[in-house]
Amino acid sequence: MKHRNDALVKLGLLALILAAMSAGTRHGYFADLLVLSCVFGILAMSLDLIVGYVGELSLGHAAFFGIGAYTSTLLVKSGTTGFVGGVLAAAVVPALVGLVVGAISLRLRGPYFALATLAFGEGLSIIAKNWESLTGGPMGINGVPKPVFAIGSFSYAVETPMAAYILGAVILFLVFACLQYVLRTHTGQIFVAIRENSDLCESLSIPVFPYKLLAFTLSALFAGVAGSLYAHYTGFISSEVMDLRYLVTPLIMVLLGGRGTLFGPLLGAVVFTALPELLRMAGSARMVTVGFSLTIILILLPNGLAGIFQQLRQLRATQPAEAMETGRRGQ
Amino acid sequence: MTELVLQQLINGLVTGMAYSLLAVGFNLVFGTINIINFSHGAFYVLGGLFCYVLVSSMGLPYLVALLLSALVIGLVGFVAEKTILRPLRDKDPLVMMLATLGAGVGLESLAQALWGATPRTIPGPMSAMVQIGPVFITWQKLFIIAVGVVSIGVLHFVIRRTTLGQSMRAVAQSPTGAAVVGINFEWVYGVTVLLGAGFAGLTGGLLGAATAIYAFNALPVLIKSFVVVILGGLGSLPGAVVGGVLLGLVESLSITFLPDAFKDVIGYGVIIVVLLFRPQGLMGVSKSR
Repeated sequence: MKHRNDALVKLGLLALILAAMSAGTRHGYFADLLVLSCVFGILAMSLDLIVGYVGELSLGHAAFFGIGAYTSTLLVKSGTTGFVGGVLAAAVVPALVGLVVGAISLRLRGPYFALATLAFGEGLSIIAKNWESLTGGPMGINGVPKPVFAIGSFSYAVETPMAAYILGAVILFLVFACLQYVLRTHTGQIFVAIRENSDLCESLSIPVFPYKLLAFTLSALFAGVAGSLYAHYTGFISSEVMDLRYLVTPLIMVLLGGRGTLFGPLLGAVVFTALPELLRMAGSARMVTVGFSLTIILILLPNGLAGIFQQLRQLRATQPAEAMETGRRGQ
Repeated sequence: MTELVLQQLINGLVTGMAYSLLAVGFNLVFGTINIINFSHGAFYVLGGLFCYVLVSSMGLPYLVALLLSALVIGLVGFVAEKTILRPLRDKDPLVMMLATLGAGVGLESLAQALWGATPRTIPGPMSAMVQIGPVFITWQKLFIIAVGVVSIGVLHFVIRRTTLGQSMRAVAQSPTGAAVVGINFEWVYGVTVLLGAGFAGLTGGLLGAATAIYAFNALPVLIKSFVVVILGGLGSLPGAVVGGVLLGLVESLSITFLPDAFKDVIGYGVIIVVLLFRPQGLMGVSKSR
């Protein structure tokens, strides 16, 4: 019972924070940062599922983000589907690709898996750069339609920054709730068990491979949703969405916030969306900072910002006990 | 047609030797520390660009510059190992690999910021062509093959026959066990990364004079090293040589018969096929992973 309450409290807290942050959308520049924070928040949470919970380093995540972005852009721009259909397709297609890629690469683990997924991501990035008739290559596709909700004759276009933020926040909330639900079920517990000791899991006849494949597919699915939102919000995508930048930045968000938590990556997403923008860094200078900060964060904050909170909580929990211990020793 | 194929074969052999050199350094670090060094591509790029600066701006002779850049990049590797990996020694390998990824991306972007998107060719003294039977090749490319054979031979000797090599193999098996018998494993780790990075820097200087060095090449080079190592077998030195040469030959033959864009895709195809059907690689020893 207590656990269920705990989950609801976290959801309520997230809803409150998201609602409070909407105040920032009055200023156009901050609104932009907030919407992008939502997009990268979804991406970071999806990456955390595989990196933080299952404990495998997936370096092909930018590809799923890109596949999602392109799927919904191409569908909506050609008028095949509306925005909702585009987002759904941007969830399904990366999930299917994730299923196939996972089926091959998850036979490996640790370093082998990391490099196999990196090769997959880089291979796809090369294809995106060169298949210009489909992706527009590095020049990209302009004028990706803004999100439009149409039911019958009624239609609503998401155009104001406020509306874009609300859309992003709602989807972020749904993804959070979904991930939280999955992680609290038996399946989620097995994910963590695999991270802690996958050999032991296998010896207890827990089939590790299908669970990993499930996590990988889910993480591809949500990355695709993030990609679709990104494309429709910014109105422009190019083969750059599969670049190294979109691979390393979400990793930093996860690690800065704290892997294996859901709030951590969100916090990391807000910080690492805002910081480079506020410091007005672009291009290579930005990537120099991003790269080295990843390394520095790992050395200084191995458990991320969430780790600090956990340490504080532990400190508070152990203090009375320690006081008693020393008191007894004093007697 | 035969001449064309022969010409491609000899070019493939040169590329393959460069791949082998890259893979040998990559393999060394993986075999000893058991993590993937994601900075390997950045070390290659920096080695090439550093050699370029030494030759074209400071006017050093190419051979001196080549040695110096390999040495400097090796030292950068040593320092990186001590500052980045040492504090993370008790963390899980995933964290250590991510730290090398961050450093690699940082170094690569730094190279891009400093040298931009122009490919640079190191003005070496061996750009003259020489004819061997029906094929033409530059002296520089022959030099690459020679350096490859000699340096890999020396490395093989070091690993098999010297105390340092023995220590490296001991640490690879068990750092704790090695420490018990009095091996300073911190020193061995440092030297291993020094050698691994040095090989990457050396290859950068070699290929930079034969073709060109390009600041955006770090990631493709990293992946290429990985393909070779997977093909040959992780942790196997002969495997890295055979895998490198094989990949070089297959790639250059593919350009003869297929469009150019397919060249890199072959590498990725190789990974998938090898991982599915022979995960221990061509020369690797089967073990559970």
